[in-house]
Amino acid sequence: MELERLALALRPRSSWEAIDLGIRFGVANARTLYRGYLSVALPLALLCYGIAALTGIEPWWPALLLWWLKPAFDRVALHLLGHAVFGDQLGPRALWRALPGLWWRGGLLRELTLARLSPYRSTVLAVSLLEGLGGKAARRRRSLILRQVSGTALLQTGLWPLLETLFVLSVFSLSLILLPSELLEQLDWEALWWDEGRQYWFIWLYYLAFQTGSCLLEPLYVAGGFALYLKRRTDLEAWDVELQFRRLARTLPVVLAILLAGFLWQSSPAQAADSQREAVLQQADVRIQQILEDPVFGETITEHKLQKRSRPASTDDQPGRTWLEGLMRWLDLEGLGKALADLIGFFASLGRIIGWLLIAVVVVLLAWLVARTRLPARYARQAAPPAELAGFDIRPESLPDDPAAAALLLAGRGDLRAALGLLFRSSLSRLAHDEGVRFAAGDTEGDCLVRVHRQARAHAPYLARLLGCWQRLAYAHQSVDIGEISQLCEQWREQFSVEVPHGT
Amino acid sequence: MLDTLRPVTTPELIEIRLHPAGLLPRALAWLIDLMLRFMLLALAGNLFSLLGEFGSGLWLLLFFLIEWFYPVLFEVLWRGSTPGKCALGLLVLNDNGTPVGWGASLTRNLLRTADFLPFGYALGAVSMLLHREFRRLGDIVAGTLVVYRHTTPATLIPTATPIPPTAPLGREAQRAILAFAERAPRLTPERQEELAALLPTLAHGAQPPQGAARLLRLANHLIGRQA
Repeated sequence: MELERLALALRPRSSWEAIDLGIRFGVANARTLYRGYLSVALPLALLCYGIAALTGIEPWWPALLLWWLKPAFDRVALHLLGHAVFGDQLGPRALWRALPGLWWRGGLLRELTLARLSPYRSTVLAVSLLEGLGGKAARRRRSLILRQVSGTALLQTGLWPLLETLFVLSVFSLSLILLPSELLEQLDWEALWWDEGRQYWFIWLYYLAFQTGSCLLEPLYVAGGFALYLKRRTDLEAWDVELQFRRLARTLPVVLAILLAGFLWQSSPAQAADSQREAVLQQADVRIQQILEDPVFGETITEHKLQKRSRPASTDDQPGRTWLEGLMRWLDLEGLGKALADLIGFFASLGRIIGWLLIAVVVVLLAWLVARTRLPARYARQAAPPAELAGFDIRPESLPDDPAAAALLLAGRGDLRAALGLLFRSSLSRLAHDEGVRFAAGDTEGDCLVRVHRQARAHAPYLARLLGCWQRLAYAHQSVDIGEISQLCEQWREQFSVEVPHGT
Repeated sequence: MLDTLRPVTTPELIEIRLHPAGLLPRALAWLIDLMLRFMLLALAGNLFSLLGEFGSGLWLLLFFLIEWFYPVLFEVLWRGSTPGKCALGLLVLNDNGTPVGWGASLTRNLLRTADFLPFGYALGAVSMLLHREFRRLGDIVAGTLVVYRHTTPATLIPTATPIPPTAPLGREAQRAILAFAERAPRLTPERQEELAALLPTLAHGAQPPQGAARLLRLANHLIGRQA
């Protein structure tokens, strides 16, 4: 068998997929298939129905006979499909010539009697027809072929009669849709079919539709079964692998031969090349002299090449240098070349300096970034302190010249709340503006204390005490000793001593 | 070379092959669904008959909903399969391989009316027989495809001591050797040797493992098994 001529793609398939492929193949070869099939089935059907019509036999007798003879027609369909699979489109003439052989070849008798009602008949038909097996061998072969596909084969055989019925019903539905309604009203449907007053034309019409459907669908059923058979053969004998191997075998020897040849002959060409090289080298000096005697080489030309100083060897293949060289040779301007070389050297050192400068800038930038995030507040660039903090106005201009004195005055008047508020406000103002503590606009009193603790540790205990006092008075409404307030005022001067002369 | 595949190229330029399903499995799936719907409606009819005329009204509503939306709901919400399709291992996809959505599913199922004409999906059956990818009219309009979920069972390459090939192998050669190794367990030893004899350059070497055994060991090397 020449698998390479197969018109079907070989690959592992599920059973249903195989049946789909078979039907698709049948439809794709519909011309050959139906021409051949009908050339056999149509005359026989006409003969049967003709005899029935002439002798007055009920038409279901020829219908039954033709139905019973289906395996004989299946053989015709399979013969056509078997050739089509290898690309042979058999015409009716070739088919008729093969017909006696098809029917007399063993197995038809069995198919028409014992196996007529077998649900697997289209799948195993190829065993007797194409493989030509008979008897015990055929039985074993059939069971092997059916082993994994019997369920699908059975369902397939069950589905086609449904489709035939569907065909008949569709034909009648279609004619009902297309017939004029006046005509339909005159018809008595029951009377058409049943004994009294039944209409022969209607019954004959029914058998016409039935027989047409049967003739149209039977070849496709055979095609489905044949594809199932091919699927089993492909699975059992790895036809797809064989095909792959055959294709590969055609290309592989060439590749391997080239590889092998390369391997075997590698040593001797290398030796030959070595001896040749020696000979050339020995003659080299003489050859060079001969060539230099040519008038073209009569004069001495000094050339200046632009080369990278550190690596002169590897610059040979730089395109920029070769065109420059060519240009200079063309111009024959040695001085210009020299000047150009100097110029380029100057630019090179300039570039180097700029590079170092860039690196320095980057280093400085990095240092600045580190300083900004890591170093204490006073070294970092300051944002302007907020005007208001924790509900207090901390702008320096809003404060009295000597806040401590002013606070003491207020305390003396009994306004302890205002005195402590002023003291706290001025502390925050000094811390923000003079000590560089970076308060944020939304800081609460507690946040302020935390920041002072981090950024101006020296002032933290005082501020903590002041804040405690303020909170006791303002929020807890506890009485605060006036002596404590005057003490805080004095300490304020000590804490922010730099500002005392300024205040007084 | 006739085949029933539909190749689809993803935006990542990966080619996947969809396996469209033909008339017979789909007809069988439809029959299963038909029986399920029939049983459901019969059961509902028994229950609703207790409610008298209101019950028959409810039943008619249920009938309408089931007839029109049974496939849509299953196809969109149940990974593309109605119970019948699921039983046959089929599912509905868009023809670019993506899962089917409400629009496409509604379209293909509302067009069942067209496919049903003149009776019993005759038009749909003819369309499926003639179409290269077995689509009925509703599938053509909605751009959908009924495909097989799994086509062939996964196969294991039998374990053998791996040996490297003497020369680098092309992709075709590697694929052929792997295909052989996958199929080998279900082939007779004689058939295995017969196949191996087709590739003497690969199946025979200087050292002892020859023929099919050598190909199996090459396959083990190709899939990266360690000695």
